[in-house]
Amino acid sequence: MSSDNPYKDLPGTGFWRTGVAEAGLFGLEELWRSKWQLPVDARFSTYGSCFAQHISRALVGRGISWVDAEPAPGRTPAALSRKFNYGIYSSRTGNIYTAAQLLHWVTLALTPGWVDLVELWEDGERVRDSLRPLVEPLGFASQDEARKSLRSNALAFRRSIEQADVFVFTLGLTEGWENAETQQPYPLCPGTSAGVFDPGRHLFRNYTYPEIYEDLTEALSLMWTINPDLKVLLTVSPVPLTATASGDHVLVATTYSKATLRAVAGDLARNFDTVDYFPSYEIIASHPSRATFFEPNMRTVAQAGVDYVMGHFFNGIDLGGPARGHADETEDRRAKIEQQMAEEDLVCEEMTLEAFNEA
Amino acid sequence: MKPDVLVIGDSHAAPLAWGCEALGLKVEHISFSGRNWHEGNIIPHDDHGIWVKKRRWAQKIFTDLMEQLGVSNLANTGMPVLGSFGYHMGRLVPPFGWNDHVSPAEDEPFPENHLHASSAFVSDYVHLYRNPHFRLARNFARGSRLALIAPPPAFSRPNYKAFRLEITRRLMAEGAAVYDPEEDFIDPETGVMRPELLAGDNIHGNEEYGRQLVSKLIERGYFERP
Repeated sequence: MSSDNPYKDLPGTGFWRTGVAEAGLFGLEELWRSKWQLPVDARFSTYGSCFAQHISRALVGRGISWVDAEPAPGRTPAALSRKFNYGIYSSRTGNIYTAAQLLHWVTLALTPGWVDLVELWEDGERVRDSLRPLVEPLGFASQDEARKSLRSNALAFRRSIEQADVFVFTLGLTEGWENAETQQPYPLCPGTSAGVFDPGRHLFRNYTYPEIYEDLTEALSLMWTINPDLKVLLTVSPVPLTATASGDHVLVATTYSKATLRAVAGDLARNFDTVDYFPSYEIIASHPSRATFFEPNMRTVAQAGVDYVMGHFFNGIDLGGPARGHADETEDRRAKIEQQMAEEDLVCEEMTLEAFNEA
Repeated sequence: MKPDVLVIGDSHAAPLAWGCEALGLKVEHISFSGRNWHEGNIIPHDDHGIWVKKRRWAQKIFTDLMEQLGVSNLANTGMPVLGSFGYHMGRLVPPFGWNDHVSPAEDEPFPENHLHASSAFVSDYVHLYRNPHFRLARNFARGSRLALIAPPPAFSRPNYKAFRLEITRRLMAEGAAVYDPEEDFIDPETGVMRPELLAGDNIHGNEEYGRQLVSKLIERGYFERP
């Protein structure tokens, strides 16, 4: 006869048999319950590795307030917005795969003058900035234009921190590349999609748990100087590495990468009340899903998987708090511009008629 | 009697017509407001050169002119054509700035705390909304002696210069000769057009501007006096 013990009163979700084996993949419940009650009009900023863009889209699709601090210019059709990477993340940073990259962006947000130190790459007659090498389909017309755009992006990134209630960040990789002199991280290895690889300048890094924990802690601390009320929701991308430069088999490297990121995210969530962890990685990539949600290449997550992840996300989030009310100046500005255009239209109509005045 | 010149365009065509008349030229003048051009109903046409969709009254003006001239293709008359179409920036540029975007021309500063838009983006944006006008310019440039005139630089507002330069570049790429009044009509102190050449609305040129403009077009070889 067993005596009282800590397992005796656990809910069914605490046991593998009832929580997973008998529940089945589509019967999983209570995988995540948000730490916080958020206002009904809570605003979310989203960044991270490529999986993060699904979170942006799902929030918008649900009508949940998503911070778009760097929207496309007015009357830009969706296809043109996508071509220039507007509306993917809360500003036009492109993918942020590593904690080091996030820390770099936060640093730029606080000291935008440092964009002058960001490495630029010549691409024929065009220029690419090494933090966002693919943000412009053809690159920039000049170094000056690249820096102006980057500075504008850094300020928009800052606004996306200021304006958000929750900053959702999807950790993607432990592996990355850095400039040997400046330690500037790159989102892509120079020479793969843009830039020229220089083994003397471009260093491979496979960031360790302590380095990632430290970079993230520093990034979050700096973000809280911008917005002291900001809550941070971490996730780990279930998308495996495309390739590894570690020398290990890519499957082994992927497991190292995801395990490390998962551990860092979990510990940060445990150590900070304002940090939470959402288990998108587990839902898609753990063995009870039997790779159901991966396309045949065992890497790309199928839309059904994204929908399933986001279903758990929306089940677990608590938007039951009172509305904060957010002022939106955009509509006022649009209305004023529309009015000015209508007035000028009238002037133009009069001018075309006046042309026929022979008096 | 056959006209000396066709003037076709938006509200900025009026000073062109006035200027031609002031120099004693016989003018046929068709203009619609920039809004009509911007809405995309005035389009290139393979057989007639130019066509107006959805607005029969407007198409009738072109049809009547073709009958009067005895031609079936208004873009292929061999006559000089002065035009002010393709720009219509009052409908194009303000919405671009709705979200506070600025795309500075090369010599312009970028104002802090605005969103930057690249010149490549402006190029795609302009193409999206103005490609029919560019094709129309191609039609006229192939069949007539076409000179297009950019709007008078009446004011300095964000994005106008970048859009103006991009549209000019595209019109020229279609074979049109393009005259930009910035070349000759800017007051160096203010960077905009001298106020005595502006109409009361401070957007359009006045009759004196038209006279000087057409004289300048003749002087610079954009337009040959018959």
